[in-house]
Amino acid sequence: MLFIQLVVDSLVLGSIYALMAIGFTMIFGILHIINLAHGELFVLGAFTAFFLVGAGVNFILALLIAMLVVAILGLIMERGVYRFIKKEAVLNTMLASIGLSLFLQNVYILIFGPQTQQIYGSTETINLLGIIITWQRLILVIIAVTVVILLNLLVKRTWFGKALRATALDPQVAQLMGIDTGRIRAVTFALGSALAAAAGALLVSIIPVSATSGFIPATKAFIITIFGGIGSITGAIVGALLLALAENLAAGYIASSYTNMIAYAFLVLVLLIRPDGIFGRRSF
Amino acid sequence: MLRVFALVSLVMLLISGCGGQITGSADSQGEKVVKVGVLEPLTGAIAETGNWVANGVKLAIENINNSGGITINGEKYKIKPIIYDTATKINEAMNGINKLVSQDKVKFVLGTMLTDQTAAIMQVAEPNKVLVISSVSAGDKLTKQGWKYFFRAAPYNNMSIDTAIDVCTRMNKKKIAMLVSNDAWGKSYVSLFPPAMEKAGIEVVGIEYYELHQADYSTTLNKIKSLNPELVILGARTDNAVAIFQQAMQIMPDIPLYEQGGAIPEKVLEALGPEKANHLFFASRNGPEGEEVAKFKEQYKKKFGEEPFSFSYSGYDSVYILAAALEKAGTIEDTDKVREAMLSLKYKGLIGDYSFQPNGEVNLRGAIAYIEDGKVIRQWADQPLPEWLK
Amino acid sequence: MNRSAELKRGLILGLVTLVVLMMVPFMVADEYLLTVLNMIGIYVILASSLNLIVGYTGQLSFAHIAFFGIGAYTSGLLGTKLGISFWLGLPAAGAVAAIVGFVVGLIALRFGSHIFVLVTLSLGEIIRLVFYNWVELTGGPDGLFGISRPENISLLGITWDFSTPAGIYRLIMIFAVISVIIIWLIVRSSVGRALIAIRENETFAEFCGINVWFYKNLSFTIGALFAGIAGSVYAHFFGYIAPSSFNTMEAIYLVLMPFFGGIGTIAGPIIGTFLLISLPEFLRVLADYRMTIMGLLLVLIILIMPQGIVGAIQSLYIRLKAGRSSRAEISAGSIRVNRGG
Repeated sequence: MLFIQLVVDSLVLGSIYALMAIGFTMIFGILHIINLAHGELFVLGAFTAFFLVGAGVNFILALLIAMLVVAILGLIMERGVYRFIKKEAVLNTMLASIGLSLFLQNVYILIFGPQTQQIYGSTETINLLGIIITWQRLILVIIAVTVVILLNLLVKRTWFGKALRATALDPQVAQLMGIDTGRIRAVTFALGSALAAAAGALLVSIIPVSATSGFIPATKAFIITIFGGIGSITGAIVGALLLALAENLAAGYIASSYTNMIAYAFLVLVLLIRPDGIFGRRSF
Repeated sequence: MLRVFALVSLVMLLISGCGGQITGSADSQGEKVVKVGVLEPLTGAIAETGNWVANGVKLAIENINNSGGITINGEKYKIKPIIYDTATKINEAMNGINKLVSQDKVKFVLGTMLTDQTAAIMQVAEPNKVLVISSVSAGDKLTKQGWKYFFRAAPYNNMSIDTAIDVCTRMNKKKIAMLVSNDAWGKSYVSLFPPAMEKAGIEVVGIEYYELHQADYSTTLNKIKSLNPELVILGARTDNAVAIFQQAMQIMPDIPLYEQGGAIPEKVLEALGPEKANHLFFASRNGPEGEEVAKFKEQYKKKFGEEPFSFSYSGYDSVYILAAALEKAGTIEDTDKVREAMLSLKYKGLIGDYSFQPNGEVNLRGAIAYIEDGKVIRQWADQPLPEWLK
Repeated sequence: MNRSAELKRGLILGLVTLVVLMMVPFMVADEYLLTVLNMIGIYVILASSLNLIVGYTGQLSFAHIAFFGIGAYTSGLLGTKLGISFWLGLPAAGAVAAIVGFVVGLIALRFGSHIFVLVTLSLGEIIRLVFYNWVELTGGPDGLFGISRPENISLLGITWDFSTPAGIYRLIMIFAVISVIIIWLIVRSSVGRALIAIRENETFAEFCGINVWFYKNLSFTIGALFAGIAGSVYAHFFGYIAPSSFNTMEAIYLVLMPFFGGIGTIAGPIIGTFLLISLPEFLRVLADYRMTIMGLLLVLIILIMPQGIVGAIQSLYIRLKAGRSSRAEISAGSIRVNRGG
């Protein structure tokens, strides 16, 4: 029973991790950019949602607006910075992303201050077959799942999705086929950023977020991406859920202060066995 | 290639030589000033709290200067703060203290709020006889290094333990469990609490850690529940505390939790609402809030646009303590005299009544806070406890 | 210029630099400036050795800061718990760091560039968490106190007092210059040539008969060795160390140093280190905006000068020399993703 409760709770955290990771893996898989400023996109999503809800806006609407705002920031990032760095110089883009991260983090401190913010919602719980969960968290999971389903539809059923997959598979051929790969890249980045914003908006409703909160989620998104396989959405989801589960299980059952090492050790072990991540180098 | 290297090395040396001129300190305009260095993490992970402390310091200096400054041997001196950010990095703290001591030639420093950064700056301050007052660092090791020029004007870990033992004894709790964060603060509690508790005849039935990012505590709380403690000592900052309190109310409603001063009761009240938060109790960094505190809160709100918390009170107090010591010593140059003044000083601040031991450790009265009828009430720990707490 | 003349010129240059650096305390008495230079000196050793790994084998390692930490703790613990002198603690620190580096390399070097980054980051974090959690040994998050300065030594009739700012400065500068020279010699040797070949095209290098696995491991271990030595010097200079000096933020900051200056060059890490340590100090006057500007500068440098400052100067120099046409290919600088690596 305890275990099931734990699984359900991991689902909540895992869905947020999943949104972060999917955005990251898309950007990594299609644009070959390791965007370590992903955390700062997440934070902006959280802050935007916070201020909107504070101004009386409905949460779902605030979430959508946050996604839009951050998508725009993502576009600016891609068109303004990453576009100018050679695709092959992956490590250069990574370092540029570090610079962006440092810059944005401190800009946030200047604009929003260093305070942590949190959206305090209802703490009413419901009891489903002996498992306790708050309404808020339940809704969180539903929203996350909805977003993922919509994304999946976008990628599998629309023309845009097809163009996306073509660009991921082979950009040159895609270009020959008449696809404007530059535009696809920009839109993909914006989309990935929007997902990070969604994760941020959802997270700030259960945990406080501050200007400097972005680093850890970005690292986790990176870990999950590698773990699940670069470019694989399924891998990102599975990886996210597994990471959340591992964290909760470790915190619960292992009463040692060394639990904070578990995620890292686990990752290294997995990679030693399956170097391409669980789902391998799949592209969508 | 080697030419580049040579050229570059030369340029480096030139710049480093000029560096002194560019960053040299400015002269005062004929006004008498005493320079006070302030070192806090103003950017980086701990920026929020670091800024709280620094804001308290700024307000205090402003108040003192507006009323004429401090009086040394009949002359009025204004306080000139030199504030450097440590960016939550030890190397930056080192650079900061070196700059303050070598270039800005300060003899008095307020800061830092982090134990490891404070330890780092003492490596430079102590040999240079620069007096340092930290109003937040709680690590016990800081007063065990034999430093003469370090004063800790803050509630510290061992103090919290004594208060906790006292409260547990008066509540007649003989079996307790601990739930702490898996970080420096939590670890220090784990190394200090159990031996002291055992000595006081209180059994520690279990110790559990939680991760800072943890959102779900059900497994941990259920584990604690199965150990049947009569009370749980909780070490949690506001965010974790809110979640833990919420979940504990569902999982183990009959076991009280006593939070050890990491959470801000006002914020917990805001998060949970008066009904859910009723009868939660905490160790408090500061005692009952009287008129002085109310006045300070108003001034702070006016200047900084937000409610201050105990960390700002601490920053504020540290300035007044230093000012009092300077006036008592009658010098702004001789740090040995100021040190002696500190040792015989008694100051009533926002946090409580300060006095200092020979090793620089503070004597403060322990305090607790609890939430009742939608309000946060603070009292001294040795005062009688409310009925419902017993 | 032939090789032995180049060698002689390089060594003379190193010697001259060393002498000039030794003179500095006579001109500059400001302890603050000396301390900043000391930091630069220590981090130059770190950045240059990291450059061996990054610039010459093309692998970006975030574990380097952890080796620095291992050196610091080894030497610091030997000093405080066993009373062992710095002069013995130093080589011990180097050795332990090299061994750990070797093991980390065995695990991490199997992977291609992206995953290598993550694995080194993970392993580096694990090492830091050991410093943090093993409270009985390392003092945990509160850090290790009371590390003493190196004992005075007598050389050529002069006693070197390392408790003075000038004394420790000179020691650090000597270590820095010697480390850079040794690394330069390694790069000039056949080992260095093999490393460059691996960076340029790993598959082709393998094809040419270079044992890629051996050389990658070698450069990683040597890099870790120097990091350990830098760590020991750092511990005995500061007198106090704590795990927070070796976390991921610091790891990232360290990686930036060779990059800013120009990876794959000798001067690059020196310039990068100098800038990344001295710029925040110069910018202190800008208080609140300091870090914002640093971030912005970083992005600009990557965009405008991806080969780092030295690379940019070099290409400028060659372009001026060549006059018009033919943009000379600069082989030092940008990292490429190794296909099939």
